[in-house]
Amino acid sequence: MRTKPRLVLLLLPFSLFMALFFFSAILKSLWTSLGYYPLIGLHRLSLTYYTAALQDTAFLRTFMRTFTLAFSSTFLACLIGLGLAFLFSQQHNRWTRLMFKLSQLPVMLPHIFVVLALLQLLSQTGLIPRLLQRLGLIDQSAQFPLLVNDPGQIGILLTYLWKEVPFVIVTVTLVLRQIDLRYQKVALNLGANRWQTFWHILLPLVQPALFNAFIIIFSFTFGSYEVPYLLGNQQAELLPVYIYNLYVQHDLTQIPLLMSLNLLLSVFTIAFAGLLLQVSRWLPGGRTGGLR
Amino acid sequence: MRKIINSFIYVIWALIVLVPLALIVLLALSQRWAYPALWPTQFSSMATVLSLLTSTEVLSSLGASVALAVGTIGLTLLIAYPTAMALTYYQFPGKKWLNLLIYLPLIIPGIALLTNIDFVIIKLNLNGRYFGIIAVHSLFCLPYAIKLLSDNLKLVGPQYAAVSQNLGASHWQTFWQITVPLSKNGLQGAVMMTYIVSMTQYLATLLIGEGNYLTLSVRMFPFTQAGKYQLAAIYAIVFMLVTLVPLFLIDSWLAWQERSREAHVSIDRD
Repeated sequence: MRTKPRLVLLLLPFSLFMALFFFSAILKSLWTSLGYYPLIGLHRLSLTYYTAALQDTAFLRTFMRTFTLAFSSTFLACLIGLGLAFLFSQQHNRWTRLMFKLSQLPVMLPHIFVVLALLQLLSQTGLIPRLLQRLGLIDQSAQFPLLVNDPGQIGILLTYLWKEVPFVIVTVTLVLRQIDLRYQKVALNLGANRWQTFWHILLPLVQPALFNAFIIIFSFTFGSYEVPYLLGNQQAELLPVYIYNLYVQHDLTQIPLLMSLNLLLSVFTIAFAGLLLQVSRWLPGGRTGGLR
Repeated sequence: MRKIINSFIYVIWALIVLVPLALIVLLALSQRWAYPALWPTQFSSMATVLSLLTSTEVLSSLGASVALAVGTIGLTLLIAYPTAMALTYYQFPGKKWLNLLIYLPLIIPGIALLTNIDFVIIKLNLNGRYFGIIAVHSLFCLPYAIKLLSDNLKLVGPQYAAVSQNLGASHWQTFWQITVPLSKNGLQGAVMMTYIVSMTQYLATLLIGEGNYLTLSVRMFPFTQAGKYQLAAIYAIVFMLVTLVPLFLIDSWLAWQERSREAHVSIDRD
């Protein structure tokens, strides 16, 4: 069964598919970003577009803003998700099972669901300002702070938390269920307190899966268009909207610059993911791979 | 004390998850819910809601969603299954790199990947076409499908297939009668995940599909943006009906099967 032709055959569909739709796209944008774009008469290779991109302050500001938002929302999602996953797996009864089932719901629904609900709840004419006004806590709905389409990106942050905290809960819980409970019992038996058991036994076993989830969520938040488009603020634009607007202008002379931005961002997220994987490997539990 | 705090957290968490969904249901049922009313001032009649739910726009976008999801599942499994087998049962140089490569479509920022791929899709003359869209959907589903399938195949192990071969079964027979049935759990996970990922795609469907495939997720978008929350909520309801309900039913059915199998085993032991 383990013969070479068979292995080649098994790997063929994936290789063909990736070559056709993934690597060709990356290569094409690499040539274009280096200035080879015959369609508009560009034939000379140069790094002009990269230097232009790295000197573009609007782009760099947008990049920093997006990175800060993606990092903080991912970090919060992992922290809250980890806490809830541990809480739900402390006991095994009807209620904790129900909580796990509930946590699967947001994973299965698109972001636009929670966007819709947030708009109805938190916009200045939304249900919460209406309630506060009814209770006499504010006089006019305009006194309610701007929480959607706000420059502080609160609406976007809340949307991502609603979607990603459950993703972390599901990921971590599945790992926790595989862990031999005896490790915990042994530690407690040898005189460790609950905190020590968590810190020295459970966390190292869960940590690799948590880092994987962090990478997936971070990359998604960093490059996803829908939520920033619906809930973002025009004065504090985020990268995906910035790139998309540049793309749909259909200004062909902008395409090489756009492709260089795309490649810079891709290299950045890959390097960042690599860094996180290294950190995970270096932390306790990383070398054995924990349980993924 | 600890118990009270725990129950408190449970309730808060349940509310956080369920309130947005309840709001969407209410929005779909309400005819008027304008400022400053805290509760819909007027509900639509059941007939109105039903006619909205079964309008041609809703049904056609439901059809588009399901058609794309089914195609994506087929294409994803066709690629993911052999790849998972290769990654689980074979040793080869570069395997470590392949294991990382699989995740690249999830790591590269979605917007960068999509605008790059749109170029290639146009070149291949697949823009606006069914195959172009399911190919791009599959790109985002493959990492999950390969991971779920290879984890499952690792659990099953290669021994059963080896026994079947020793007993004289052909490769093909072994594959269909041993490997595939044993990886049922992995397949189920991969199919469910692919279904969800495909159903929730927005930008990929719109950009590559050039508006030819107006799925549920795509149609919800302009309504939400224009403040027509009730119409958006109607699409959301249909979306929940075709994702949550089937997935819940499959899950319960499998749990029931598992339990009845355990019951049989215990009877046999007696």
